[in-house]
Amino acid sequence: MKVEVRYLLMFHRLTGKTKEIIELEQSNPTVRDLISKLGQIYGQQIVDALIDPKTGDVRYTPDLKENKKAVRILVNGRMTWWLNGLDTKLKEGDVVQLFG
Amino acid sequence: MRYAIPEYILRVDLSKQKIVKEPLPEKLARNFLGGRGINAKILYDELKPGIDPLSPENILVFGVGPATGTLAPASGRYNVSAKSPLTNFFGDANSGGHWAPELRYAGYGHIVFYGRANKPVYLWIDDDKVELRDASHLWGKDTWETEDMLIEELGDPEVKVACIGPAGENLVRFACVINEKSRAAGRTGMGAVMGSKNLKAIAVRGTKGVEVADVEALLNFREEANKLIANDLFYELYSRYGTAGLTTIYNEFGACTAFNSKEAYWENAEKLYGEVFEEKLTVHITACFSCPLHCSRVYKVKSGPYACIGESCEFENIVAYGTRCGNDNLESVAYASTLADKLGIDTISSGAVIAFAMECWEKGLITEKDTGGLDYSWGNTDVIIESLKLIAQRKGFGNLLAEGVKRMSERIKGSEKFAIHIKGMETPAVDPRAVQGYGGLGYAVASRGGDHLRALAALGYSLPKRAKELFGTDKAADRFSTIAKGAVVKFHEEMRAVTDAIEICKYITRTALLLPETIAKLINALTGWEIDKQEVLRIGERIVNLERAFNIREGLTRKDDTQPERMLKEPIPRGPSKGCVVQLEPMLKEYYTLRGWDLETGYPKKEKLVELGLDYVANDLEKLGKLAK
Repeated sequence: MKVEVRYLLMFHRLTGKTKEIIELEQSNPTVRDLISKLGQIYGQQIVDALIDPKTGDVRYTPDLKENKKAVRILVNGRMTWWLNGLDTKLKEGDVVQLFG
Repeated sequence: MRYAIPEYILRVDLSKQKIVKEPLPEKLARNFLGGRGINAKILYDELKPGIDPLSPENILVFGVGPATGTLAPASGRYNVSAKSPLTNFFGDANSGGHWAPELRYAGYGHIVFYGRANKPVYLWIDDDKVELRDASHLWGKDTWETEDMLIEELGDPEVKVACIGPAGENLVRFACVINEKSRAAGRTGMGAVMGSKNLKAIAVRGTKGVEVADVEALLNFREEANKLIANDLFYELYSRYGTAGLTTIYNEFGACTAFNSKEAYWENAEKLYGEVFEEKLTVHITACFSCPLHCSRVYKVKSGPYACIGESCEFENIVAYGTRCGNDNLESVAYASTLADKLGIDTISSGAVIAFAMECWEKGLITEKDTGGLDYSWGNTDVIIESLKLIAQRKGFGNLLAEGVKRMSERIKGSEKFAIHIKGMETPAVDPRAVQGYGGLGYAVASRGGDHLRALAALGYSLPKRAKELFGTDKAADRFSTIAKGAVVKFHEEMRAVTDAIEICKYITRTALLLPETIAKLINALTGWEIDKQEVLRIGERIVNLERAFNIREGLTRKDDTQPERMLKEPIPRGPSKGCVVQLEPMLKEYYTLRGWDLETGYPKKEKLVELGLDYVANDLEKLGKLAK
C-alpha cells in the first residue's frame, strides 16, 4: 500500500526531500508503521524527532531539557491529535505531512 | 524613579509649523503601557468623530513602548495610528526594524501630527533638536530614494528614516509607511494619512540610552525567553525559512487564499513554498533590533525580467501576489514585493484588489474598456506588476484599484458577493473558513477590519495541550471546531494589544512568549511596577475596549463584525479543508458575552467600561445613545 509523505521544513532538512511515495507492507498500516519505515530509510534521528519516548506519543510539546522541538504529523491536513495519534490508520493514497 | 517609560511626547502642528515637547505621564503608561495603547488613547481623546480621514482634521500618531530599544527580545517595533481612510474606523499599523529604538534613544515615546503642511515637509529629530524641514525635493521619490537622499543630506549613516512613497503622496487608501526600505507599517492606509498631511518622512537620530528597573531580572528573562523561543513549534519555520515557510504550512492545511478565495488549496503553490524560496532566492538572513528569531531575508532574483533585490518577502506577499492572483511564478512575486516596498503600498490589500479585479474579469464584469487594455486573466504576472505602478500613481484603472475592494465593489455591479474585505479592509492570506477561531472570528471582530494580527489566535489551531490548560478543552485548538473560540480570540486579543503596547514582536509572542505571566515578568523587569498576569490581561482588555469605543463612536455596530459573503456561504471546494465555511454566529455570541458587549448591537456595557477604568468613555457613549442597556 502506498502513501505520499511530504517532508516540510525541519523534515525537508532531515531527509533532503520535499515528498516521496512510501510503500508499506502491512495490511492495515498505521502512522506508527510509517514512522518505523522512515526510521529504516533515514535512521533513528527521524524517529526521535517525531516520537517522544517519555510519552510514547508524537512530540506535541517541546522538551527543553533534551533540546527537542515540538513537531506535527498531519494525515490529509488533519493533525493526528484529532485522529488516533500514532495508531491512526492509513489507506492507499493518503497524504502524510510532517513538519516541525 | 521611573524606568523604561519614554520621557516625552512630541506634538507637531503641521499647519502652524509648531512643535511642542511635553512629558509623557507615567500614569498614562501605567494604564496603556505605550505604543498602540497610548496611540489609541490619544486618538480617542483628541480626534473629533466623523471627520474625513484624509482631511487636516485627522491626527496621526507614531508610538514606541517601554520595551523599545532594550534587551527585551524583538523590541524594535512601533505603531502608527490614525482614523483609517480605508475603513473609516480605527486605523493602526505596526512595523519593525531599527527605526523605533532610534526614536526611543532620542527620548521620545510618541509623535502626534496635527493639521496639514502647506508644502511637503519632513520631521528631523536629532536627539533634543526637532525641526520641520522642506521636503519638496523628496516629493515624488520612492521610499528607497527618499531614505538614501535623507541619509546623504543629514550626513549620518546611522539616521533611521520612516517615509512614504508615491502611493502615500497620491492618497492610495492602502498606502503604507516604510522604514529602512523594507519594513512596513502596512495596513489601514497610514501612508495615505501621512501623504494627506504633506508629511514625507520622519528622520531620527538618538544617542541616549534606556534605563531599566532591574537589569539582572531582564537578563534572566532574556535567557529564559531565548530558550522558549528556540524550542517553540514554529522556531525552525521562522528562523530558517522566514515567514515564507508559512506558505508551506497553510497550503498543506488547505487554508491558503487562492484565486480571490475561490480556492484554499492549490497544487502549484508548491512552487512558492518556503523551502523553494530559501533555495532559489535567499541571499542571507537578517533580523530586526534585538531579535533572536531572525525571520527576515535578503532575497535576490539574479537575472531575467524580474531581476531585483529586496528584503522580507513575507508569506503575506507570496499569497498576495502569488496564490491569490493564481500566479505560481516566485520570481515575479519577489519583484512585486520589492516594487510595493519602493512605492509604499500595502502588499496584502494591493494583492487583494488585483485578485478581485481578476475575478471580475473572469466573470465578464470588467473588460479591456475598463482596464485601459490590460488583461486581468489569472496568473498574468505582467498585469500584477503594472497594476502596482498604476495604483501608486492613481493612473487609469489604477485609480479605481487604489480605492480598495469595498469601494471597487460598489462601482462594479454584481461583484459584491466576492468582494473579500471586512469593514472595508481586505482580508489576509489565511482562509478564515479553514481556521474558525484564528480567521473566522478573529478577522470578523478585529478593530482595524479584515486583519489577522489583532487576535493572531495561534492557539485556535495549534498546541492542543496548551489550549486545554488555558481554555479547559483541547477542542479550543481544533481549527474546524467553533468550541471555545470566543474565549480563544478574546485571550489572544488582550495579549496582542499588550505586546503591541510594550512594542515587542508578535512572532516571538505568537506562541513562545504568549502567556500573560511571561509578559508580566518582562514588564516588571523593565519598569519595576510589580504587576501580575491579571493586570496584564486587564490592560489588554482596556486597550481593546477603547478601540471598540472609538469604532462605535464612528458608527460601528454588530453588523460590521462579519465576514465576506463567500466565507459564510461558499464551502471550500477541495483540499484538506474541503466543505468548510465560517460558522460565525455561535463564536460571535460567545465572544460578545465574554467581552460584556451587547449581543444585538455590539455596544459595550457600562459596567465593563467602568471596571476597566474607562468611566469617561462610558459617559461619552451614553450621551451618543451607544451604550448597551
